[in-house]
Amino acid sequence: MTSQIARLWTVVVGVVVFFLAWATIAAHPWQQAAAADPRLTAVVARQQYLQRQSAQVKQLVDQRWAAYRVALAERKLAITRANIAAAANAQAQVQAQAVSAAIPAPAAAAAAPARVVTLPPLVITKTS
Amino acid sequence: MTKHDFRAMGTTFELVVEAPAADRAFAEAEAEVERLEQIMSRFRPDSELSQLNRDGAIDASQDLAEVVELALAARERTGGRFDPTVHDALVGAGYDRTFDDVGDTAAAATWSRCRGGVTVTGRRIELEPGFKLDLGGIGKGFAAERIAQLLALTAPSLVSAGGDVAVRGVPAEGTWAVAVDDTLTLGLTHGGLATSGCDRRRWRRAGVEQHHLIDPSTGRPAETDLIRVTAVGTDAVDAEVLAKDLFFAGSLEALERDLPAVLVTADGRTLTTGGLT
Repeated sequence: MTSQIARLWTVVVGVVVFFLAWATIAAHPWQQAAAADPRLTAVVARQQYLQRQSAQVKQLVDQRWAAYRVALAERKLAITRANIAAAANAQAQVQAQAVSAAIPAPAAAAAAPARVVTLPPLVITKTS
Repeated sequence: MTKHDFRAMGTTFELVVEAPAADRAFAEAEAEVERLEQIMSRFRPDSELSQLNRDGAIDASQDLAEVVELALAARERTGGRFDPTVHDALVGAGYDRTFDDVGDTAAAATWSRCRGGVTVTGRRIELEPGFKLDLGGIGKGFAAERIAQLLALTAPSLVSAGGDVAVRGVPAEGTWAVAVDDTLTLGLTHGGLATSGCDRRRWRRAGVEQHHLIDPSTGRPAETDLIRVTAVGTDAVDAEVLAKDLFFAGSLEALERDLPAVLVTADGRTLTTGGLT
């Protein structure tokens, strides 16, 4: 009787020890002390670096696009103003030509007041 | 074509009218020149100008105020090369009486400052103390223009007051022929013409040659490489001012400015500028 009880306890203890050992081995306690994989670390660092770069490039592109749109708007405005001025000048020139055509300039005023001639002189200019 | 000449303002006035007779117009012209001389002569003690020079201020006639304003405008326009306040410098150089009476003397010339202050307010003329006016050259131009205007009531006319020529209208020949020297004649259709030079109106003081073209910057007779300039202007007054301006400027600047003018250099060359061909 006593030996049966002892045998039973032995089996129970053996089963418990077996499962404990199984659980311990399954937990891989020796791997926690090992260093992390350097390739994985490098990949992670590279990924973070590229994400930062991407954000900076996007910010730069946004700034330049905004500046370009402002410059484009100013240029369009200047072109519009120049076109308006050119149209006004053209109109003024047409009007001036119409006025000058309508009022003929006196021949005497248009001509040079003096020229060298071979006529006999009427008077001689001397020091005043 | 009718001509008439007479002496006034220390020179000979020559009047030419394209009409068979103009006796009345000539008489009126002579009277007007006499009236203007009585206003502008610095050699007549009782003239308006002499009174102004004596008192330093005057309520002037319209004509005197107008001539002084023209002279001041010319001074402004020429940067001071033309200056009506050369009176004392002229007297110091010996031109202290009508030119017919100016002669060589043993007394040395003295120099005076020019570019004095002159203000014209309406007809009120005031001089800076120590300065007097000489309106000799511009006065003749003014008179020539006035007489030409008078004669133009009769017919196309030309007036020569010594070197200052004014024209009105165009004669049958198409232009008024004015001799500059024995070899060069200019045809003038409008505007005025004037000659300034130091080849005439010369005298000596203490053996030193003097002439009547005072450089306002020095107060002495001007020294340039030109001896005579004939200039064409919008009228006789403008031409008179321009001739003096170019004379004082010298040949180099005169050639660069290229205004209608005939330049005679001290070495005897005659140069035409401003398209006078």
